[in-house]
Amino acid sequence: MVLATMLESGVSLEFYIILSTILFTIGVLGVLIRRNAIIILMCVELMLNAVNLLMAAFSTYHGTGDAQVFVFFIMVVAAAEATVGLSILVLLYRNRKTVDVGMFNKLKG
Amino acid sequence: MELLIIPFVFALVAMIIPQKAVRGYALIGALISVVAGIVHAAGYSPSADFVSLMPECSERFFLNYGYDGIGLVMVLLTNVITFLILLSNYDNEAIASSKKFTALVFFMQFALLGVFLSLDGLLFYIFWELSLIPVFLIFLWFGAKGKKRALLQFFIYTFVGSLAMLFSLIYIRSLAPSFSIEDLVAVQLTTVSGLWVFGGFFIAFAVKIPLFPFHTWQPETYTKSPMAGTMLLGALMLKMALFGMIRWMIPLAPEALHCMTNVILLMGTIGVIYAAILAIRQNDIKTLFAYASVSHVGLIAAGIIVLSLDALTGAMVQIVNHSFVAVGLFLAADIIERRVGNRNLLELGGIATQAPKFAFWFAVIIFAGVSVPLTSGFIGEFLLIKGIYGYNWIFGVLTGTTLILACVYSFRAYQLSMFGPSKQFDFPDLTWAEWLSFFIIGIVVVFLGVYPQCLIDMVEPSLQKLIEIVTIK
Amino acid sequence: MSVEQLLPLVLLLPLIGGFVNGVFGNKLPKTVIGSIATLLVAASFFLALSIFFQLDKAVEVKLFTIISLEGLNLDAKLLADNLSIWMTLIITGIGSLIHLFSMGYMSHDPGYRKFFTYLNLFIFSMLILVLGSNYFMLFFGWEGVGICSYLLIGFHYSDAQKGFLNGIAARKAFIMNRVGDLGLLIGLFLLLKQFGTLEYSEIAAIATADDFVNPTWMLFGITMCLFIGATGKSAQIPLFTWLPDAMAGPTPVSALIHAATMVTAGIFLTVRSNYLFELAPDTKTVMLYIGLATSLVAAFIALRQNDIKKVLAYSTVSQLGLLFVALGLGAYTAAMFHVTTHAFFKALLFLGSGSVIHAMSDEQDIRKMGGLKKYIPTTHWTFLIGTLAITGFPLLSGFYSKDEILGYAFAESIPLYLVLMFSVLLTAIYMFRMYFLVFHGEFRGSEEQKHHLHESPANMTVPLIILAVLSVFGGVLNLPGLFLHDQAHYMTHLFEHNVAGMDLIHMEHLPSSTILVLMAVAVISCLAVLLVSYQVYVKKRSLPKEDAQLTGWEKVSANKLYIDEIYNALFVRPVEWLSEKGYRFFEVAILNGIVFGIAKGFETTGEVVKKWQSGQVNWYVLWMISGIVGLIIYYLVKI
Repeated sequence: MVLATMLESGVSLEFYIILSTILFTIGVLGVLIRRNAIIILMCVELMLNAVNLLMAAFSTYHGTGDAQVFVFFIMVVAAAEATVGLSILVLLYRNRKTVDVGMFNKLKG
Repeated sequence: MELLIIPFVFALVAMIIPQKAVRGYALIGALISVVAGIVHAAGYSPSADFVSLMPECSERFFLNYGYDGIGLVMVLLTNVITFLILLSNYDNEAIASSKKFTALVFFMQFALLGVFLSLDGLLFYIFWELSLIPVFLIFLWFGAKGKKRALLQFFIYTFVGSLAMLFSLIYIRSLAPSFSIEDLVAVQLTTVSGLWVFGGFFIAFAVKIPLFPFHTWQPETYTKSPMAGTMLLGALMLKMALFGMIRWMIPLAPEALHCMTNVILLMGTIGVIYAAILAIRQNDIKTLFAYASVSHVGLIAAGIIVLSLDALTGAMVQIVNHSFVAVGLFLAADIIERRVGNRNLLELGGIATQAPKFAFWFAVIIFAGVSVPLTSGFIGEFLLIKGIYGYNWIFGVLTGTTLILACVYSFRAYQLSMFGPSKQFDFPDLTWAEWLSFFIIGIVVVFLGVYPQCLIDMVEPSLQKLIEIVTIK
Repeated sequence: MSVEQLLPLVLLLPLIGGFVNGVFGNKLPKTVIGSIATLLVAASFFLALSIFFQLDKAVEVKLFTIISLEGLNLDAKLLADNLSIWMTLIITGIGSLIHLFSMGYMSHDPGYRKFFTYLNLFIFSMLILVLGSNYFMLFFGWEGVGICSYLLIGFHYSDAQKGFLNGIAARKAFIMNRVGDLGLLIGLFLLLKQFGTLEYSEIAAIATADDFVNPTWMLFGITMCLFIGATGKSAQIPLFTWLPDAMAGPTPVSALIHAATMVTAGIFLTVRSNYLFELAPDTKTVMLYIGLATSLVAAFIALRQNDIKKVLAYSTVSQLGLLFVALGLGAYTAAMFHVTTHAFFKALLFLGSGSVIHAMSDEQDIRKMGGLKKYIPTTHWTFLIGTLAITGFPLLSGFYSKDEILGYAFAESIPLYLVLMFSVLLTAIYMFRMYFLVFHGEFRGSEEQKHHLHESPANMTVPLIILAVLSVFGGVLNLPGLFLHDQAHYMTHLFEHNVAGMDLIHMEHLPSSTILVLMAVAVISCLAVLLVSYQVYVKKRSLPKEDAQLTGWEKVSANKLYIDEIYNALFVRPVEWLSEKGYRFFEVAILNGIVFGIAKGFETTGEVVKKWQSGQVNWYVLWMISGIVGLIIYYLVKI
């Protein structure tokens, strides 16, 4: 409802697109550049939320609720992903005493 | 319904019963399946239509399964052979008392029955792939030294073949309303698309049968796998492919037949002669039997593809015969290996004097293998060669040489191992379980050799329908 | 009982015997085993005899259907007509005598029960062969006797010195037979194609119908295929080398299977199908010359063989060649007549040689014998009768049957007659040589053997005597006017329903003076050989040379014309070579090479591609995102 009010209040769709693009880019760059695994996870969350925001915006814009359903799905998946991801990280930390992804290069061919 | 459920339940329960009871449990379980099969056979009146076993409520799923004469014969064969495999392993303490082994054999039976009973393309494919798992595990857990390489080769080889079949199935499904066999058969293909569909199936089957030149995995796998695994492979898994040719490949894409008949016939014929010639100088008894098997199934495949009623009937008889003979031959090879600790023919000899019962039954199996009259092998090969001869006389004569070549290698193997003065090793005669296995094989083989009509009656309508389908398309 | 009831019984009795002995025999004493086997075959003989006397037309008995398909009907059906019952009488009659003989001969053998089981099964298979009413049944029996023959040749497989060789001989016999069988099988397919049935009576009805159009090539093919089958079983060129090797079996086996019954299966087949052969004169010509060549070659080889059984074996081959000459001439009745007499005297000779071998403690080399006539008189006299019968000594059975064939040859062409006469002369030469070397002169064996010399027990001599009587009087079976009025030959009359064509009795149109001259020539040549042999081997005490001293034709003869060596070089070695080299250089090197080559290819590709796998998560993400960006750009540009 908040978003709806915001749209009515004259904040146009473009602003939402630009905001979520910025958020998404920050997320991508964070994943690419940072080496701390926790930060990377947080950046992934950021990307997901950017997408969420965009979906909610479009949903309101079109006046249909479909996309909002997916927003809930994504939130659930994101929560699950965070739990799994963090628990993997905990295990990795126990193994290596670090969360620097640069050290986890066992998959090197 | 119960046909499929019995082995599945027995496979599950096998994991929880006490160690001591495993062997008896296995035999009882297999016997129940045999009885269930016989009950179905007794109530069956031969016709070309499928008897559906689908439960009433399950129409929404793809669980369409049932049998016609051919399927029923294969079901019976599977159940009896499974029983024989368990029985013949009875004295092999390490294997027979293993829960894992028993469960896997029942699971294998389940998968095989699924293959023979499916009337649905997807179900067929699922069971087809499912059957790889137990055989893979049996090899892995009970195989001989150096099994890994052979196992990998076998697995990848057959898997690639199956993949091709999956493509074909998906393609033909895209032209049909459902996966059920009636719908798939009803699809009209062009020659080119027919060739693709046919080719996909053919690769899968050619690898598994195996047809020349796709047979190289077989001798190695046979020698490295435990006896039960070899039996499962030789007696039943190969038959899945031959059955698949009759049930799926030919009716689904007969449009490709006029291009492919000669190719497959040629491959089969080369396989018959080539494998037989290679078998002549093999000294490892298991490798020798592996090549013998390649030679025999090549003939069956060639017979199926010429699509005449007599050759197809012969193929069915020979499928049954070859299963029993394969079990017998590999049992004999295993008996020799277990007692002497050696499979090299040149170092064997003189067993017949020490173990006359074994010598007798081994001889019966060998005779069935070289298709002597009064054994089902003769009926099968007679009809097969007659059918091939009717199609093309040159191929008829060429495949007919199997009569001669089979004698050469079989008798060589038999004489080198059994005849001559007795050697140093001690060779106890058959135990009751081994004797009973041989006895059952002998009875079946001779009965079908004298009165094959009971089998022919069951399969004839379906085979005639098959020929009809092909002629109409 | 009627013929319909008796016929299955004739067939079943030996099977029952084999079954009882095979399954329960290990609990029975030896005499019981032997008696069961012998009595059942004898009972079969008497049943057949009673059928023979009440048979006035061909009777068919259907047992069950073997295969019934659209367009293919194969029944297990029995046929009793004069031809099949005649063969049955020979098989069961001589069979029971040989069973009786074996009871004595095999009495010390540990495989006694097995032997009688096999022997009964052989009789059973042989009866299927002759009593079946179609070619399919014939093929059943045909292969069945092959199997029994295989089992019996290799009977002493565990023998320390010769066990393995016995096995090889058995295998050789079976494989060579199989080559012929393949020919026969193809003949069956051709018959099915041409006539749509395998029943004798139906084929005969079609082939002898007036409106039957003779498809020349087809019939040539059919008859040639049947003949190829016959060359395998009846040991003709090129498939004859197994028969001498088959002498590795116990002597009663050689007598029963490899002289009297099984090897005449080819003759039976030809006579059975004579209406087809009559339609294919080319095949008959081929048969004639193959038979002639076999007869000469085998007789030549027999001249310098020193194994008593080998001589007889080659003699059998030679006689079979003679029979095929008769068949090639269309003299089917004469051939059947000679089959009958040959069964008598050859069984006698083999059993006699068995008795000799028994007396000599398993010695078979005639160079080690000599002067045996005073030690084993019964054997000697019966053997002498056999020898005289086979050489065509006047008034013995061989004289009549052989002369009849010679007469046909003379009526056909005189050169043919001369060549055949030459072969007959050779027969007389090697038979008398063997007879004199074995029974006359000084004993040449070891002291120990001399010490053991003894006449065989009664159950061995009685069959000898019976067979000797038959060999003497067997000839009267076909004497003109003896059983029938108006001068008809008995056997010609007997087989008139089985034999097609009207030109078959043309010998009777030869002027009687010619016949007398032919007889005189035969008698004189036989007597001349007898006298010369007597001079050489008894008066001059001439002995066979040692192997090393042989030169020229003698060496060739002693080495069996090197045919085994030639076959080895032509067939056996190449196949073995193919097998070994094919395995090593094609299967392993090429086929396996390709399969593993493909696997190797994937492996190499993996080695290259894995370099891209840095192990750094950031890089993976970068690749992924560049991919996505790339895709987006691609679609944007495309639009």
